[in-house]
Amino acid sequence: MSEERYDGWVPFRLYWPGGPEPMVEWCYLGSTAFTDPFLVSTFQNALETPFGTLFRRHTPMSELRRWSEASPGIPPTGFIFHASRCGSTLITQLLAQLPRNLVLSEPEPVDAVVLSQFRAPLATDEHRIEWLRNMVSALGQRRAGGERNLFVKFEPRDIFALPLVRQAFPEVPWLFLYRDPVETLVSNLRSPPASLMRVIPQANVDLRGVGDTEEYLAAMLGAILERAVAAFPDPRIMLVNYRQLPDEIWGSIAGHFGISFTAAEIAQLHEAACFDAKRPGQRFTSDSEGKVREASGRARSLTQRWMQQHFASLEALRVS
Amino acid sequence: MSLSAFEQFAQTVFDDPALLEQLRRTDTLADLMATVISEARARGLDITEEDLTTVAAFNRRAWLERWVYQ
Repeated sequence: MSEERYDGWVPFRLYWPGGPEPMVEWCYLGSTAFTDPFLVSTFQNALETPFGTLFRRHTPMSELRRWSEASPGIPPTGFIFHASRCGSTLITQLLAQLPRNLVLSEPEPVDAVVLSQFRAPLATDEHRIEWLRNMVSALGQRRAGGERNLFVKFEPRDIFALPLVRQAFPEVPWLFLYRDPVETLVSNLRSPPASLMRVIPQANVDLRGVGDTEEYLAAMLGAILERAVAAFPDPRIMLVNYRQLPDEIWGSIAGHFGISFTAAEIAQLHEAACFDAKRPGQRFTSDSEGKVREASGRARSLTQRWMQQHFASLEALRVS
Repeated sequence: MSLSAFEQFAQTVFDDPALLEQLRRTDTLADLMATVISEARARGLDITEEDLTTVAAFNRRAWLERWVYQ
C-alpha cells in the first residue's frame, strides 16, 4: 500500500471479516474536539453528516501500525478505569475543559480490541497488545494541535482485560474509581448500561443461579471491583472513591498523573464541576442519598452478596 | 455502477484535501450526492444516485449493527 495519510481521520469501528486480524473503519473528524461526555457521541454526530454518511475508510488493522510509525500521536498520560456510575465522566469532562488535554472517553474501538478474544480467538496477546498500542496512537492524534496530554477512560468491563492493558502500557499511571455499592447498583438498575448487559466471557463470573437483571448487574459490578482488588500490588495504580471528587482531581489525581493546574484553572474546573458531566448545561445535584433511599431490600441484599466485600477491600487498600 | 467507481472516487477524495473540504461543506445528503455524481463524471467515473443510496444504507446499517460484529 502506498504511504496513505489519515490526517483528520479517526478509527471508530472494528469488524472481523474472517481470520484473526480485524478491519478498521475510519470517519473524518477534521479537527473536531473530543469534548462530548462519550466519544461515541462525537462519532455519531460525524457519521450523521452528509459527508460522514457516504465517505468512510476501511483498512486492515496492520495499517494502524504504519500510521502509528508515521504519526505517533500523544503518548498516554493516564488511564481511568471505573466501576460504572461513580464520577468517571466528571473527571474526563473536567480534564477535557483544558485545551492541552485530549480525552478519549470510553472509545469503542479500544474496548473492541481489549475484549477481542471472543471475536479473534486465534490472535495472540502479542497481537492484541500491538493492536491496542496502535489504536490508542491513532485515536490520540492531536485535534487542534496544542494537546500535550492524553487520557483514556475505559469502559467498566475493560478491567477484565487489565493485564493486557498493563502489558501494552506498563509505565502509564492509572486509577480505579468506585463508589458506595448501594449507590452504584441503584444507578445501574435505573438504566442498565448496554456494555455490561452483554456476555463478557473474560469476566469469568459464576452466574449459576443468577436469574434476573438485578442480580446479574450486582454480580458483574462485584466482579469489576474484585478485579481492581486483584490488580494489587501495582505501583501505577491509584484508588479513588467517588466521595473524594471533585477536589482530588486537581489534588492527588493530578499528582498521580504528573500534571498540574494553575489557580485560575482550578477555579474554572470548580465552576465546571457544578454542572452535570453527562448533561452539559444542567447544574449537578447530588443524588447519593436518593439512591440509598431508593434501594430495595433485595438490592441491598445483592450488594452484600456480590459487592460489599470487594468494596471494603478497596477502601482498606486506599487508606493503607 | 458502480461501487468500484464509487471506491475509485472515494480514494480520490481521500487523496485530495481540497475536494474533501468541498464535499464536507455540503449541507444535505441530496446536495452531496449531486456533487459527487458531477465531480465523479468530470473524472470519467459513472456513479448514479442509486449507487450512493446503496452506500449510505450500507454504512448506516454497519454502524447500527456494530455490536453484533465487534
